[in-house]
Amino acid sequence: MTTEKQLQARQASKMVEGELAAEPEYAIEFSNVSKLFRIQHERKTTLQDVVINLFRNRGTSEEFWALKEVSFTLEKGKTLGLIGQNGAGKSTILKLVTRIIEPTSGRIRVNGRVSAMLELGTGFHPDLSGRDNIFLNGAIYGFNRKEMKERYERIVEFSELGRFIDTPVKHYSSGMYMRLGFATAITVDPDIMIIDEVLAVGDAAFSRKCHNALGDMKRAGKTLLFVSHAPGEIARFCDDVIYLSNGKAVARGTPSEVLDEYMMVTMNPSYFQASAPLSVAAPQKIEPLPSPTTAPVSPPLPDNNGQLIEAGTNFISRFWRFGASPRQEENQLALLNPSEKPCRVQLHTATETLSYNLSSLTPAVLRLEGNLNQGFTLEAETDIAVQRWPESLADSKLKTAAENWFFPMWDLRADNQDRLSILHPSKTGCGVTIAYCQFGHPPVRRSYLTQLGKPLILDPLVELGSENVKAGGESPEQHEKLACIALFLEATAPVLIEKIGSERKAPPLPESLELKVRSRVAVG
Amino acid sequence: METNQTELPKSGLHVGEFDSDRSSIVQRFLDLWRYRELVYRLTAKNLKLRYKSSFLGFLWSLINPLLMMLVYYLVFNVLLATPVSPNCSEVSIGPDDTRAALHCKIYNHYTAYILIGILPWNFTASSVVEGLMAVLGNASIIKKVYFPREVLAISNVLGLFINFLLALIILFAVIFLNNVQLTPFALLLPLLLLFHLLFMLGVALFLSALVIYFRDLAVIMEVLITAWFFLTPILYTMEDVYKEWNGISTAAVMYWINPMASFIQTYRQILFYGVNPEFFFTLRTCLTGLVTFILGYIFFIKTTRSIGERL
Repeated sequence: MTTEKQLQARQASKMVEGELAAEPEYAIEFSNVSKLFRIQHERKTTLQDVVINLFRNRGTSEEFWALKEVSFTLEKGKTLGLIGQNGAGKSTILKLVTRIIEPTSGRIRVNGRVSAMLELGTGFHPDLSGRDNIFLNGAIYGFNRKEMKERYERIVEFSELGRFIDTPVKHYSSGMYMRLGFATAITVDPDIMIIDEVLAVGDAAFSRKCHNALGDMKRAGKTLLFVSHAPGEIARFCDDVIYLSNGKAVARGTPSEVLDEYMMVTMNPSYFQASAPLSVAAPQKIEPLPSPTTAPVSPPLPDNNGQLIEAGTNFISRFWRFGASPRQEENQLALLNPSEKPCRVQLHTATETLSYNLSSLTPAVLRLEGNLNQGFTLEAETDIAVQRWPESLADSKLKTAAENWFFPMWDLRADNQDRLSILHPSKTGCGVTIAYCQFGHPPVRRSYLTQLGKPLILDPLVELGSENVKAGGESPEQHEKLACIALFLEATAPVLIEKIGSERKAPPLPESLELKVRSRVAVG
Repeated sequence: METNQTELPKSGLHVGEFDSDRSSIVQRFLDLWRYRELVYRLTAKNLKLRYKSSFLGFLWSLINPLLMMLVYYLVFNVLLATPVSPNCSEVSIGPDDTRAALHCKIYNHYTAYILIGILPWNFTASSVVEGLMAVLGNASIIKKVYFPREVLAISNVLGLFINFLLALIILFAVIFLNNVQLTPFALLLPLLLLFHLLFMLGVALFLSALVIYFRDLAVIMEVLITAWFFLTPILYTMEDVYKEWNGISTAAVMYWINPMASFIQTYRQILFYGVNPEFFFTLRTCLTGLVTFILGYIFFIKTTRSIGERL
């Protein structure tokens, strides 16, 4: 069955073997790997079939190249993402790396222990205790007893099973089973970790735990191979992305390069023109403004947005008018300037005019104190989005569909578990780009696809990474960290937005976010 | 967390290292050695699960053959008893009464005689039945994780082998109670056990791979096992079926086509008759075990390359 090409490939690989052996810094190496699947329409596995098919034409099988001449190397400690549509060959690569299937031609080299998170709890036997299952699972991954003993305590600790560890697994709740499966897979401490969309399972808290653990693995210098349909996850975790199409590696590059190409192919190209204004944003300092030379402005005619916007808005305007505050407790107003340039905002009350400088794509908070509670108007140089902060949950449903949405202040802390539900009310999908604007950092841009009539649920904390905000934020150093961001969403078609949250806790307001009043001018 | 990370050697295949160009039979065999912990764990699992839910637990593996022994004793030594004079001699005096002496010894020590046949046969039959389903029955794991697939068949047979070894305690108790005189030839038992194990490993590997491509085997096996049982000298002795046509004896044919006949015969010779198993006969029996193992292993490796797609 050896073809000439195979022989050549083999000779070639033997020639370079000397060099490669000298510096085995690769973790996974594919050279000209092809995989042919024979799809037999009627597989002859029983005697009856063999007899019946004896006189028939035997050519009922169909050939299908799942991979064609794919070559790549993955360096140790790097994270590689595989992206592509269904049937592009992503899962085939994973199965080849994990040795579940063998290549038809070409050469695969794997350097290091591989653990695959293809399905949690694979190989667990219901009648065995948690302890026995941990050791059995470790042995399946090729660990010897000594290595497993070193890891055992950590696995038990991570799984939070405690005294249930000697109970047969069949008596576990599904949550306990999942925890044990995840703890074993991740704490088994492999050199190469393979993740195939498992992060989509479980509730928000579990998903967060998965993301945290993967972040830890990445920092610990493990090699990750990652398959996902979610560009957000790919962009967050991967150093490199390979875009597969019809069994060929079409593009390789950084996530932003390849994801754009992927989105370009899978979506309407006009989408990319729409997302142009979000490309540049450097962190900016608030600079002192020169005192206004012009005469005090009379309050301009405000727009018809007299009510406070509770949870994000699809509306930006130069002028905002606010009546007397409906609540007696302290209120804050969050402002977002979605344009690239900083802009000046003037606030007019009955007695004075205040002037602020609003950085581009940076959340800012205005405290409504004193005579601001009596009503005021805002006048900005460019269109800005405004939201009351902290918002009340009761009004979090936004029933208008729009292409652009602004959330000037988004609570990132895990207690509130705020998530964003994006629904494109049609059968076709639509592209959504979200800019996550952190104070003092350039905004992070992520693109997503909504699926056929299904809501796209995003957890900004997960999407952005929880390096900044840890769940709960109990420790003092985490308290210092930023707890809110601004969010700016652009879609290729109008989308319905809903903010989902559980309980609501008033966040402590970070000092650095407050606008500094630069000048006060008394009105006539 | 990273401190106990073991360094991988720069060259040569290690655990987790894999090169699709270097997956020869020898490499695969080394791979199997690296996964010995898995063999141990799966064997332990098989043993643990076998008797876990029953009340008497492990004791069943000892009681079972004793009950079978009792049944055979009642049927073949009480109901269908061969007419043997009560004061017969177990020692043959002339060449003519060898057979009579043999029958006399069997009649007097029937429980030990039959148990020596039953125990190795039980090991053989259960290895075939469980080995057959070793790979098919674990399809869900095979499609998710890589490990040398032969481990599944091997650990199944090993579990049964350990069971067999423990049952030998009962066998020696029966031999002792039955006043069968053990001779120094009984010391050959470990050697025989080893090659019997190799033979069963080979058969289990061969069948577990074959059944993937030929599923009917699982159904046919029931008949084949029964046929094999009656073609093996368990309920009778080779001398009973001795016939000769044109210079070819039935015994020779049976030995050639059924390796189990040789194994059971050797067990009987060293434990029951206490005679010298001929050197070349024993050598051939052992070689059969070794060759079956090697061929079964190679067959398994060659045919399970595409197992991830076939299951």
